[in-house]
Amino acid sequence: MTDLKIRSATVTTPDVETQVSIELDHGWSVVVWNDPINLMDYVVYVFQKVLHMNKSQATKHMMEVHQHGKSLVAHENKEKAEHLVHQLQAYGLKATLQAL
Amino acid sequence: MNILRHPDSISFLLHPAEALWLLHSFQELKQSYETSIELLPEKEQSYWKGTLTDPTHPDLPLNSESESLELERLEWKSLRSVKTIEWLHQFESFHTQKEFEFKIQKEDVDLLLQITNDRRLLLASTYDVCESDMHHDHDKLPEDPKATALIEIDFLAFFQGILLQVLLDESPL
Repeated sequence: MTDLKIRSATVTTPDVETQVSIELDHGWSVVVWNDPINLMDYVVYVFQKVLHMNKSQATKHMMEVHQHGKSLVAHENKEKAEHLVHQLQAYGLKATLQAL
Repeated sequence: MNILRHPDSISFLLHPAEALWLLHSFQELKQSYETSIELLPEKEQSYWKGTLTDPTHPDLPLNSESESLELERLEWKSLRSVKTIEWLHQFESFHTQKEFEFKIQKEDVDLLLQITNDRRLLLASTYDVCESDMHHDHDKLPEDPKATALIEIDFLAFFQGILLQVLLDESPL
């Protein structure tokens, strides 16, 4: 609640913050979302293949997706992040791009 | 289902019932891949278009990037159509009374994984399959298309498990 009051007192709106972040290319996140269909082992395999994670890292992120609904799996410049989203989606994962 | 490993290829020895499921999946995929996106049912159209950004924050100004994703997804649709048709030709020698050998090149195992996943996700999208459906005892579901879809989704999950085993045995991951 306190955080919300502080934010409402500032001039900057979330839309402007997002726009500034995009213009400056502060970095982009690749987020993978939970879905009921993709197999756990399949998601681990895709994380290893596309994101070059080792099995332990891939399993940790897969469990984060499964238990918390999403996981931030990469933080890159826009071009690279967009490429990763395309690759993850080629395997049918629900991956999206998010400006930091 | 048994697997035979050859130097450059993999053979899946399928029970007739397994072969029938795989044949059905490929036939349905072929139709979806070959149909122009605007002629597909709305849910299939959404699947093929994909989403670049978080649906709860759809206002990110990424129109050209979203178009680029949509175009790439349509390219996958086209490429996967070619491979699916190639694999479907093998089923011309399929007899329902005999074990069936389905053979693919080793470098195509990863693509087969993606293609079988297309079918699972398309079925899930068409029938609004949710988490609880996936844990349901399918034998007790009423006889309806969704029950059949769930059985196909389960069969393809079993097949994907085998494909993953093949890939992990072959790769240094």
